[in-house]
Amino acid sequence: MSVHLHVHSAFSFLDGCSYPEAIVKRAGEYGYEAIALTDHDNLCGAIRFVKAAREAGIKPILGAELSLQSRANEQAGPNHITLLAATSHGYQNLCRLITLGYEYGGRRTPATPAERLFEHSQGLIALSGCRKGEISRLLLEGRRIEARQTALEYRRIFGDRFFIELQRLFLPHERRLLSDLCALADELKIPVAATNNVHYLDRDDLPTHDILTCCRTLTKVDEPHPLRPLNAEQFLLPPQLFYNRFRTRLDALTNTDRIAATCDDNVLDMARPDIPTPAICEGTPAQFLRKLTYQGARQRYGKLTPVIEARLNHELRIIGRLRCESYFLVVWDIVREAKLRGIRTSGRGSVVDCAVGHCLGISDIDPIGANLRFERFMSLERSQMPDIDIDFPREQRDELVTWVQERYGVDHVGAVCTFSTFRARSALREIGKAMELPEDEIGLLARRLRSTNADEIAEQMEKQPQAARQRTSAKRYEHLFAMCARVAGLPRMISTHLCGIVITTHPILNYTPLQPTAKGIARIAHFDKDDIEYVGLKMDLLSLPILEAVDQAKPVCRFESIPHNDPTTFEMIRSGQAVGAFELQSPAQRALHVRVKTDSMKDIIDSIALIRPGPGMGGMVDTYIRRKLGLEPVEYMHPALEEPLKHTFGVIIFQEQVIEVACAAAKLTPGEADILRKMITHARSKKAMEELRGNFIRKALANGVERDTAEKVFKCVAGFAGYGFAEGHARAFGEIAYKSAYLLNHHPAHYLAGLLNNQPMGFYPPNTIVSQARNRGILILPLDINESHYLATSTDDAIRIGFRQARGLSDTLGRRIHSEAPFNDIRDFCERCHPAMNELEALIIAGAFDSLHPHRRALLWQSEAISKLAQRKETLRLLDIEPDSILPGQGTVEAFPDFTEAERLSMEYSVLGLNPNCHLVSLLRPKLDSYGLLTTADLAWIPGGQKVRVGGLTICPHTPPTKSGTRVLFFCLEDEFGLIDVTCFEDIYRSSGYLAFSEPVVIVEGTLQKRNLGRALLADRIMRVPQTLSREAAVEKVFSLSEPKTHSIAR
Amino acid sequence: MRYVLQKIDVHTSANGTPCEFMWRGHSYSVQRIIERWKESGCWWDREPEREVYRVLDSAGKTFELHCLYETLFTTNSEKEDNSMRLLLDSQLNRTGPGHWVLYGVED
Repeated sequence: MSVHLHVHSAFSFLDGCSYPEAIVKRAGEYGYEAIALTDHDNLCGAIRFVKAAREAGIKPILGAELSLQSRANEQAGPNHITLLAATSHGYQNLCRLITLGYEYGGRRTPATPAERLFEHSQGLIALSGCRKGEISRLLLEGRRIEARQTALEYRRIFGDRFFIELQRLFLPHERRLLSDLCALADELKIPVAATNNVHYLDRDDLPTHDILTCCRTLTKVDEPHPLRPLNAEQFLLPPQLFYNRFRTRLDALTNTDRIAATCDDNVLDMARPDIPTPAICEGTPAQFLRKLTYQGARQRYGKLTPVIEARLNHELRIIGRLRCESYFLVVWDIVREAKLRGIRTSGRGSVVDCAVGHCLGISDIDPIGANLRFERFMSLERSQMPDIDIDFPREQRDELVTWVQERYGVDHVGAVCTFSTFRARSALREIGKAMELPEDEIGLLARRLRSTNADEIAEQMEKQPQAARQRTSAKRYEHLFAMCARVAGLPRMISTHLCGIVITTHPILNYTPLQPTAKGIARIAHFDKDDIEYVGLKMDLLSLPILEAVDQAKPVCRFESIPHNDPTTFEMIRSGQAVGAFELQSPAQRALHVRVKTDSMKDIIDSIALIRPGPGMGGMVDTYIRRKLGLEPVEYMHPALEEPLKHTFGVIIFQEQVIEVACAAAKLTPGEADILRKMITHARSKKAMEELRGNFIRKALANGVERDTAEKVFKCVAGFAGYGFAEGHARAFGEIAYKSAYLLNHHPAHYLAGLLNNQPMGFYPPNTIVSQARNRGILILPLDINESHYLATSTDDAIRIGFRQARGLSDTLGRRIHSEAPFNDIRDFCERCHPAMNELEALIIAGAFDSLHPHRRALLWQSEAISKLAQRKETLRLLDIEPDSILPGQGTVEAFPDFTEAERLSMEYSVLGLNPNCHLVSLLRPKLDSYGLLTTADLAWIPGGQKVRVGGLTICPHTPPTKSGTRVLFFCLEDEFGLIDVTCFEDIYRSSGYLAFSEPVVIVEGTLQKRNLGRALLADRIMRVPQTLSREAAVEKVFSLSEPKTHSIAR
Repeated sequence: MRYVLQKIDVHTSANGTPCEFMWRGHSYSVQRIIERWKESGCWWDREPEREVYRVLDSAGKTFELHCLYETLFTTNSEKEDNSMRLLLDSQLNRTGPGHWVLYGVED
């Protein structure tokens, strides 16, 4: 029997087509008893490979194809060598060698120094590699003596664990190469091993492999490239074919079996890892946790009542039984450090349900007072490590991660990785490029296909009118879509997970290689959020920009002291005016608050949980509103459900209520009920759901509940479970939401400046934020080279745009300008700040020099000369020559007319993403007036039910899931006076609503709806604004710009 | 190499390698296979996969023979529409699968 020892999975990133699970499955079907995984310079697929192999009863062999840089021949680039971990020590060495490769070769081009191989060779088996292996390469070049020396060197390093690798892939010059390799092996008495350098499962997968190679090498299908596969022979050979290829050299096959037998079964320890304990821990972790908890409890609650003590003891007992004390201590340690540094933190998710967490300062919500179920967070029945999610301001999160590294050791901390996979947009762009389709056509199509899998493009083209409108009838598009479907879901690259880090007790390199991140902090482990739990303690340190945005108002209002009962803030929320407030600003949220007449924190908390797919799809939102307003009686499916559901009018809106309902109806323990909730969430088939339903009904019947009622309850629970929020989470977010609304209401200039400084965040683009500010009477001051800071600054009634807002300006320059200001003129600026040409152009276009040189076109015309002169002057100064004596005069370009107002605004928008001085729609106003269109301000005095026509910008068009499954389009229509929410039902969306996705400015014809303090438009028709005037065309064009452009054309 | 690109008849051995072929009414006996490899062809243009043989005939002349297989890439609609492939083959002056082509002769 033979074994495949050189197999690439999709984790070879654009050089492999199959997931490890599929490889294992196929190997099992072929009857192989063992198989190896050898991806390029990584172990990203290791855990899932081992899990799948163990499940299939196949022996997994972990390895990698390493890029090895020989110092003697650096110009030739790295050679390949196939390394297999025979022991745990070998696996650890492999992790270290791979890590070295990234340290020496760089983030994108790993290259392990060959001279480091020896020190990490223990426990590793080496195969000489493919054609890109050093020995094969030398032989193909006819350099036999050097090939012999190399083989001897490898044997010196690995001893009898070194094998000459033979591959029969039907490539040119292969006969000679194989003959030379065999001769060398026989002469030096080095054993041989057969491999097929597998990159895909079947011959038919060759096009997929080839197109991925084109993406990797940035070549078109018609262009040759040495890395592109010549034929379709690198598939997983069935045993008989494998035998046929090597029947003249059977020892190469039997040696593969021998190698497999040499490898230990468990080179990767997948037992639950030890959790590190902070050095500060006094006594055992359990003792220290109890001490801290009770200390915190006395601070939080003052007097400890029996209820509080019972709850804390209950939680501590479960935490202890699940051996999670150290986990809590690590989180406490980090939160404590954050607070010492003045960094705002906020617990989110189910940890808010934990009273111990509250006492440790992880969350500020009191779960005992709010009656939150601890079992939603953790339970003995679920017996899993809970997730503790903590939010930090974005900028300071990195500071804390660095501190965690220092605290727990650089060798014990890593960032969790994530894999970017092919979805419709990325597949269309990358594969379309390789297949030589026009980039602009593909780009347009990709932009219009939102949230689509790469294998559903053709189907989605039918469903999404904005995409279907594009001409894609050509045959080549069918080929493109077919290729996109082939690569659907395959990983394209490894990147850093947004928030996950891992902390280990033993050195992290015992488990996973590490590679540098783009940011340079916390190297990335090769395991994603699911696999990392086998390595150490995974923690989510999330960044929540709002926590930083609210700090802008710190000088005028202390966030922690904001009162919870401010009537004007509630009035603003219930009148639908909370654009900019955290979690309350989406059209759906604003409409909800108008309907429920929000007047309390409870309404806000409920609303955060209500505007979710679960309650929305279950049709619970309308029921909740009607019951809250007393328009229909509150009913319960069973009397036992009154207690858990009475505070939400008989409607399930929180995950904790699912647990309570299941406990009440089917007499489950809270832990069992939470498991049911999780199982419903993850049920992937009708059959699985049917089983869950059967169990639930049986238990409910045994509890004396009637079958009909039990069925109804289960349906309700099942409809909700997957998409709801934990109440604790809603409370934590609700607190921030209300306080952000308070700041928006009372200190709008400071708060909105904070939002501008933390983009991207929230629902609306910067221009809408600025419009909102302007409509609130705040003066927007433009970017100014002598006045602006890096960030937007604010006073009580004005916001000054900051340099951070300018696209194309480096952070370094943006931060430096203010410290160097004031400047006498642009030359002075160039001499002292040395901007790049594109940066200087961006500043001119953004109007930063208007206060010194109001003629932007003249300045742009001179910018290159000024920049060069400044550079020259610097050089002359270094040479000790008086520079001013040779500088020419200003020139006479002022004779040219400056840009028109529309041009200035358009260009300004392209750099800043906003217009400080006016709204672009105001330029279109004469034209819109000529069509008899109303403004959003006019709608205030028009009675509801009237047919109206309004023109404006389309903001955030989206089609969320609906209960009926139909597609309803929502967007905001914005003009210089404000914005109004627009709804298009499916027929309108299909006939004209799709224009909201492609047209920056539209006219909406529809019915004005007024309810309580809010108003909205129900569209009958969406129309384009005819483009007749050049300045209007310029205005409209600029909104379709998504990328910063070069501005040379402006000259 | 002088390109010929003509369909020919080839006699093969039990393992499928060429022994003898006919071209322009003459029979050529294969003395030795110099090199042999496989190519996937331009799958994106539906070219068939092929096995390439560089052979030496009894007169010491080198020929390149291609044995053609199926193309590796078809979309679902093309699989259903067999006439499409025939059309493509005729348009691209291709020989169908399972055939031999004399690709070129070394002068």
